[in-house]
Amino acid sequence: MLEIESLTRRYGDELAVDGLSTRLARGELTVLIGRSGAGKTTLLRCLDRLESPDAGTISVDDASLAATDAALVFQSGALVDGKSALENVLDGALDREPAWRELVGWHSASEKRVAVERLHDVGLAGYADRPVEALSGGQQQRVGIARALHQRPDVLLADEPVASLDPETGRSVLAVLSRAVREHDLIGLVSLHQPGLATSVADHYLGMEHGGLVLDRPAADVDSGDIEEVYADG
Amino acid sequence: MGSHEQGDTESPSVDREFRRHQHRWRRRFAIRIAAVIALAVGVGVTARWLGFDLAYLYAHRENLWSVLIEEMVAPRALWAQLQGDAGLLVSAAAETLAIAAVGTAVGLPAALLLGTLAASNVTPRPVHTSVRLLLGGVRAVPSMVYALLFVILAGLGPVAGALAIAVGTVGDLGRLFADEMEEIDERPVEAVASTGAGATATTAAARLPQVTTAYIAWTLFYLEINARKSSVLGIVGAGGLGFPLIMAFRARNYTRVMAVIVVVLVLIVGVETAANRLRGRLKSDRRVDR
Repeated sequence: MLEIESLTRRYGDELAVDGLSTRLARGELTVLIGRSGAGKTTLLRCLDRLESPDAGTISVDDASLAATDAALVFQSGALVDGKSALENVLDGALDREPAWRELVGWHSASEKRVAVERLHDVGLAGYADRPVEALSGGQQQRVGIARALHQRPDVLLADEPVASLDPETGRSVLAVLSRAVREHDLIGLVSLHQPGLATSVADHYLGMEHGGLVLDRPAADVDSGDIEEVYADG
Repeated sequence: MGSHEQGDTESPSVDREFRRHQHRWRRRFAIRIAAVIALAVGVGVTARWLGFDLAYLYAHRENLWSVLIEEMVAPRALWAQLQGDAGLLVSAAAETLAIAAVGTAVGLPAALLLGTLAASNVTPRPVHTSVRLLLGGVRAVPSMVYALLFVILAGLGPVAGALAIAVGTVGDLGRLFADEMEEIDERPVEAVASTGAGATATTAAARLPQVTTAYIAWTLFYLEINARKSSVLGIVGAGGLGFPLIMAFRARNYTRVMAVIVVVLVLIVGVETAANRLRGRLKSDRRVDR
């Protein structure tokens, strides 16, 4: 269980996240919606510890959230060109591997075996030795997910992971995310601009406006009217 | 933590790919190590051929050491030397700077023209390959050799130095300009060309604006390099600080050598600082424009 309590993040005078509180369950994929500037990215960055909140607490299973507990999937893959898919996935383990291994390119066999498995998890069997710049947008995003999984996180975050993909590819990437959350029993939180793509995978919805929550309900209790309201002028 | 901690799921396809990867990786790693060893051996053999002998160098360390400590890094003697030669050194430094500035300015227009013509995305193949070949030929001759040639033409003195710097600038800067031009975004070029604009108009309207900032930065960088180059052209009689430097060496007056080196250092650091300031201002101007 991820518990967010009165989370606040300011940029100067502007409140990007304004006293936000909620709970997210394990094994569930929560879809985070809201207009541009509503505070979605700031919330995700606070959860990944890329930014420190000005007030409030974040805890996982009653322990304070550390940077290594959460893994973030970035908008357009954010992979390192010039490295293979497997090498990019191995980057997820950099916090537990000594730096000399990355410097000389000598990773332990057990880490590599797991990294290959992560690539299979996201549907990229046979791609381990491919250079990532030769992959399609959807495949790159899958490598990004495999890298996040290789971090062995409790919380899997994704910031508009399908924004630059066509709808069909976007749907399949979301399906990969949702399966990863279920199989590894993670707490999943994905921000999206096209909530229509998420209807088949969302377990829960969060809607943000002006840094606060305007929607926090299980997917079963949310209809398209509720979603439209989050995007309406208010 | 969940079941994803270790590779505990039995999957033959994962194992197969893992083994294939390990095989490839081992081969690649072995090749890399072999290459490093071959390189080290190659460097060792070549150094030996050159006559590198560390034991000899170590045995004669006193020679350099006594010159360095007793004559060059001797603060009092050095200060007296700097004061005594102040007039000569300042005028030689000014001459060095002038050679660099005039040389860069004279070479710049030709570098611009030839650099643009040498870009494969601007001119047809016969033009850009032959211009590139020309630039390569110009670059192949060191500045010192140009200086010696221009001394024949212009006589001993800074004019020969400025001409040598100008030719070197055309060769180097032309090549950098061409490479920079080949990196531009072709979409706006296509858009402008689609209006029916000719080749020259298209280059002026869509290509040059994309490289202006980079060209100015490269030119400033080249001014720095040229200041460095022109401080030694005097060794072959082409003006500037190189002349007092070589004379001091010939007279075995190492305190004076050091005095010239100090002036060169101050000059180069000064030019670099000024160029960095200008570049910084250039960048902030661009930000305001946006």
